[in-house]
Amino acid sequence: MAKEAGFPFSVTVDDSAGTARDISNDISNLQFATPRGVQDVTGVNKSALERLLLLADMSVTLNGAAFNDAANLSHAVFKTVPSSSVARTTTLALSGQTLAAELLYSDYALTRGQDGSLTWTAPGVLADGTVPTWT
Amino acid sequence: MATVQHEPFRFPDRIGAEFFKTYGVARPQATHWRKATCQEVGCKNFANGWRIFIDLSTDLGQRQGRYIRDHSGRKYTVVGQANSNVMLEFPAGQKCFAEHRIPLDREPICYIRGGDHRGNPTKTPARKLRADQWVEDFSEHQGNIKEAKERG
Repeated sequence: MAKEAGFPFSVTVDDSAGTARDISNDISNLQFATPRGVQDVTGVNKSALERLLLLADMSVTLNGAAFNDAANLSHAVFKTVPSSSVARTTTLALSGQTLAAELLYSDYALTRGQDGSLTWTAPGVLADGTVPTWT
Repeated sequence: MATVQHEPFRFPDRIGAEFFKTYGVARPQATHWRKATCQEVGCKNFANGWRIFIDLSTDLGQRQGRYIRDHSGRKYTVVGQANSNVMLEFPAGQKCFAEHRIPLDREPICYIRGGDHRGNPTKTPARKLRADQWVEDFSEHQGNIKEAKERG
């Protein structure tokens, strides 16, 4: 892939009604934890069921630069996490490719910093075991 | 410097962190963000006005009160007062007290490291990659996972 000029970087997450919201400008960092190399996984002395569980696992952490309660942005999307249990399509687009995953978020945690900043964290896991792939 | 007040709630992990690797994207505040106006971020306080509550019996409240009255330059009215507690109302159309930021149009820092949110027990060193290389690596990796799962 050639290096691109400009940076199409976007993160969209469904709100509780299932409408995709672009919250790219609220995200400071994110992590996708995925099973390590498949050879390592299958080489581990684990039962077949555990291997399958591992292969279906992925956890995601979205971290917000600042609390943002503007319409349809991060607070509007995640404020319903404690009161709802819906799978939310989460899409990361970068360098012309897109990764979409169905995630179940478990928290929307706000943190007040000593400098007065108010940041947030939203952790999630795969909702249905479908391995997300880039397209 | 942010202080973590509590760890966010996560669904219980079924398998140890040593079986995972993490693909991360970061936009550090110092290099990837700039200050923004209330209008640029659609600030509700700017659009609608806002109220704040100050407790003048505390040192913090007194400092807040002095700052607002003598230095902030904002228009406000006192809309409620009981003992040492004061409620101030700031009309719409003026800069709120938050420091807004928006991301710069820069390539984020893309990295791969061992482990997950619990740590990196295998001590696998982190690797930084260009965004396109990171996507390619991640894509290949997920393809392998999918194939292995389909094989069972």
